[in-house]
Amino acid sequence: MKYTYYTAEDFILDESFQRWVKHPTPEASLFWENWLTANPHKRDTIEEARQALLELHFTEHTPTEEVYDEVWERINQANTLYDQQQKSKIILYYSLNNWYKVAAVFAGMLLTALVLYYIFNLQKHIEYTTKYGETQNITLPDGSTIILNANSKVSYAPNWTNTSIREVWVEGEAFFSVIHTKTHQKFVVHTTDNFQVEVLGTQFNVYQRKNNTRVVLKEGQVKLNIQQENLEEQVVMKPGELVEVREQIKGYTKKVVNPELFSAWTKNEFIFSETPVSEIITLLEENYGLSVVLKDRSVLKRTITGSVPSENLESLLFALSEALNYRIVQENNQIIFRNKSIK
Amino acid sequence: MHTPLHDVELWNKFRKGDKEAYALLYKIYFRRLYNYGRKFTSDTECVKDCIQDLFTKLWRNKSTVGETSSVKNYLFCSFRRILIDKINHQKKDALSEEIDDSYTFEISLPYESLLINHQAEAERKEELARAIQALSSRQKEAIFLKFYESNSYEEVASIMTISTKSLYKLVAKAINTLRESVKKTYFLLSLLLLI
Repeated sequence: MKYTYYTAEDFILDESFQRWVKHPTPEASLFWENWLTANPHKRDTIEEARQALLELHFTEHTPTEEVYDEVWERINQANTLYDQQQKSKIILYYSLNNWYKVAAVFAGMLLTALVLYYIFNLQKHIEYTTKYGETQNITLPDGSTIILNANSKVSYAPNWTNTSIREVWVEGEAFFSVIHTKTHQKFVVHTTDNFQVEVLGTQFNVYQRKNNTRVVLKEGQVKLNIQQENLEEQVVMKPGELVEVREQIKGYTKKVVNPELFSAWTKNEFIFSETPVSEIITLLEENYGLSVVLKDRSVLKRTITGSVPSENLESLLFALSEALNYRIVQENNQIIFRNKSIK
Repeated sequence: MHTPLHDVELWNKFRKGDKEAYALLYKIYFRRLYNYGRKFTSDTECVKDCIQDLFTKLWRNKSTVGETSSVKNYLFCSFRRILIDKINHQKKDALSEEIDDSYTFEISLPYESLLINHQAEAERKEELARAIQALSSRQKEAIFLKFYESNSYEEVASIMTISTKSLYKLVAKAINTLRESVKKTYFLLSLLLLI
C-alpha cells in the first residue's frame, strides 16, 4: 500500500486525502477509516496533515449584492448593443447580393481614400506669412516665384504633378512671376472664393484686402474668373491693365495703369503718381499695421507724386512730411498728421 | 449545488444563444471569479471590468467557442489572462515600459482564524501567516487554486498554463516551505513545554 511510508507532507499533497478532508464522501470516509484501523501508528501523521490542510483557508473577498448587480447590468447593456449591431449587419448582408457587396466595398474604399487624400492635402498645405513691414521671396515647386508683401499670406499644396493645375491661395498682396511649363499647365491664383486669376506664364500683381481685389498685369496674359451674385464673368487682361473688384459693387473696373507703380514695393520702394493721400494712409495701415490719426481731413484729397523707400518707415514718413509740409509723429502704433501751418 | 455536468449542460445551452443559461453561468461564477481576481489586485474596478470583459466576449463569441469538459477551467483561465493583461497594460501606461507577464498574487489567512486564545497556537498561526506572505506569487496562486478552490493538479496547471509536473513541484515546494517554518515554532514550543 503506497500510503504506508507517507509523511504528513505527502498526505497533504495527495488528492484522494485532500478530497476526504475537504469534501468527504461516504466511500472516502469508509476507505480512510479502514486504513487507519489497519495502520494505527499513522494516526498522528494523518491528524497533523488534516489540520494543516484545514488551515489552508484564505481571506475571502466577497462582492456586495450591488457590485453583483452592477456588473451584470453592464454586461447586459454591452450585449444588447452588440446584438442590435449584429442584427443591422445581418440585414445589410442579406439585402445585398454578392455583386453589389463587392461594388459597395470598393465604393466605400474609394470614398475613404478620397476623403483621406483630401484631408491629407488640406493639412499639408505649405504656407508663408509675412508680418507688418516685411516682404518675402518664395519659389514655388515649378520654379515660379512669388514676392509676398507685408501682412500677407500665401499657401499651396506641396506636390505639384506635371499635369494638374497649379493652384495658389493669396491673402493680402503678392507679385507673381509665373513660368510657362512645357505641358501648358494652368496656374490659378485664388484670392477669395469667388475670384481667381488664371494664367499660363506671366507677371502680375495681386492685391486682396478688405473686400477689395485688384490685379495689375505686367506682362503676358491672364484671365480672371469673377463670380458675383447671379453673375459669372471672365475678364481677359492685357499688359498694363488694372482690374478691380469691390464687394457689394456689381461688376468690375478696368483701367490702364503703369504696372511699375503697383509692383514697386517688390523693389522696396513705393512709387506714387498723383496718388491720393487716402491711398497712402491705407498703405501705411495695411503694410505696417499702423493706425493713422488725422487732425485735418482736407489732406486726404491731396495727391503725391514721386518714389520713396519702403524698407525704412522713418524715411518714408520723413518724405511724406516734406512733400505735404506736415508734421508726422509716430507714437507706438499711431501716426499723427498735423498741419504745420495750423499749429 | 451545481455539478460539473450541470455546468456543461448550461454551457451548451448558452452556446446556442440561451440567455437564461448565460445568466446562470454568471450567477454561479461571479463571486468565485471576483474573489480570485481580488487576489491579483486590490483595484475592485479593474476586477469588475475584467469580469465584464470576460462575459461580453463570451456572448460575442458564443457561436465559435468550443465544447469544454470544464467550464470552470475555461472561465478561470480566460479571466486570468484578461486580468493579467489589463494589470500589466496599466503598469505599462504608467511606466511606459515593455509588457511582462509577471503579476502579484496575495493571499492571507482569514483574520478570525488568527484570533485564538491559546498563546502558543496563536504564535504558530502567525508564523504560518508570515510564511504564506513570503511565498512567491505563483506559489500563492497555486496554493489558492489547489486548496481553496479545490481544483485538481491538472486543472490548476491548465488555468496557470504550466505543465502538471511543474505545477505539482510548485505546490510541493510551497507546502514544504510552510511546514518548515511552522516546524521551527513547534520545536521552540516543545522545548518550552519540556521545561
